[in-house]
Amino acid sequence: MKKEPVAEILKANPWFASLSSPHFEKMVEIATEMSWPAGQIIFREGQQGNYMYLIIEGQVALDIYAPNRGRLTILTLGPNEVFGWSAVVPYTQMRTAAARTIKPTRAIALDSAALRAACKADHELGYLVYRRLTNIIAGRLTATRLQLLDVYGDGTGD
Amino acid sequence: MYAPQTTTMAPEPMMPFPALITDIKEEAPGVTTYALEFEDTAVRQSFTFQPGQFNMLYLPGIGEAAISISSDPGQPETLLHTIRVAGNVTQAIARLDVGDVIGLRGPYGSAWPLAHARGLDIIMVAGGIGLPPLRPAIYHIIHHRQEYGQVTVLVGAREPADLMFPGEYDAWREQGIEVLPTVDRADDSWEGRVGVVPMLFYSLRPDPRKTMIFTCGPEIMMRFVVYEALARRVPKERIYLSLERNMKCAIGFCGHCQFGPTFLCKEGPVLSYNQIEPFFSVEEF
Repeated sequence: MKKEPVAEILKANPWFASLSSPHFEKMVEIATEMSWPAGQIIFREGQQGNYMYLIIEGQVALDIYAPNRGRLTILTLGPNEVFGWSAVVPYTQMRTAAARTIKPTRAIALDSAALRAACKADHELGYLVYRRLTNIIAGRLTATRLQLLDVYGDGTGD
Repeated sequence: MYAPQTTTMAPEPMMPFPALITDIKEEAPGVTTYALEFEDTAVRQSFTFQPGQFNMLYLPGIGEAAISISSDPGQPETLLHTIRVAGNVTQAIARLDVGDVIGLRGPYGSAWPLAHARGLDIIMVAGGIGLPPLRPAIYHIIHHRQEYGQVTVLVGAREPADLMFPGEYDAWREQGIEVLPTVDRADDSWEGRVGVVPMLFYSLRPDPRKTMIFTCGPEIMMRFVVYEALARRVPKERIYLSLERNMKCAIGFCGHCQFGPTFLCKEGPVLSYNQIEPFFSVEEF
């Protein structure tokens, strides 16, 4: 996989690109590029989270292990999608699912402690970051509801 | 097997014509595609349809069912209908074999706005049995590929075995159409995406100034597709849905398919979101 400076990668993302210069620089400061081969466990459910990730390329599965049922993949994510949000949410701060690469994957990892500290120090940045996170989590909540509804079972007769 | 008695095209819109089942293909558990050809040569040669339209399939003594045409509009002499067993008529159709004859009248209803979509990007979102009514539009785009921008097909199903037409995805990709399948649940043998189909919007970056949405599938799914499209500022008049209700006469007389002020068999099944918005989330509808 090709190597690019972190700032270049973040600039290609519309949300990061929309940040003011000081906010963008702060994000670059706490961001690290990471990559994994296919089949790698990035983190496990219940672990304390140190990073939130933005996928640049590849594919990641979020799994939950259930007794007698084994590994259940609840969601897969691809480029431009975020995982590991629980690391920056005060309520959770531990992983609510395991993350596993399905394909070789490259991501930007944001240091969660540094991100929380930056948001606490600069409330304008904090507002932007947590507004974005709220949208991501709202999307996941909506998707989970739809998954629970099992809409394909809604057979209507002729 | 009963065959309706007619040899020429009748002007009566309620008149079915006999059509021979020439092929049957199982697509997924409970879902089968039937290839039908009109027995009457003149009827067969004069029949045309627009992507998104439906036919009424008739079995005497049992009834009629509205079924979307799932085949290539460029080859209207053989009509494909992909049918999920859901009621009396479709159960009876499931007992038929190649060589049996069925009554067919149509085509009815509105079509996907492919002329209006020229020059635009198109995102098609299909859930479960919602892909068959979109497939004729995919074939049309393949035949006129240079007239359209980026075309993406998001396909959702409950499980991998329920995906419609998976054997065609690579051929569509070769024609410059991005195809992203996803399933609600899967075991470890599935290497594709897991998650509900509207979530696939999160991996896209549609340009709202030049994007049109076509969606067909369970109505709840389409509601979430509309939410995701509107969140990305796609205008309401460029979001099209294919709605299905209790279609009986197919010509806007009986009112069984009424949806607010709209008769879906005649003004639908394909409607833009701004046409139906006031009624789309009304519980009783």
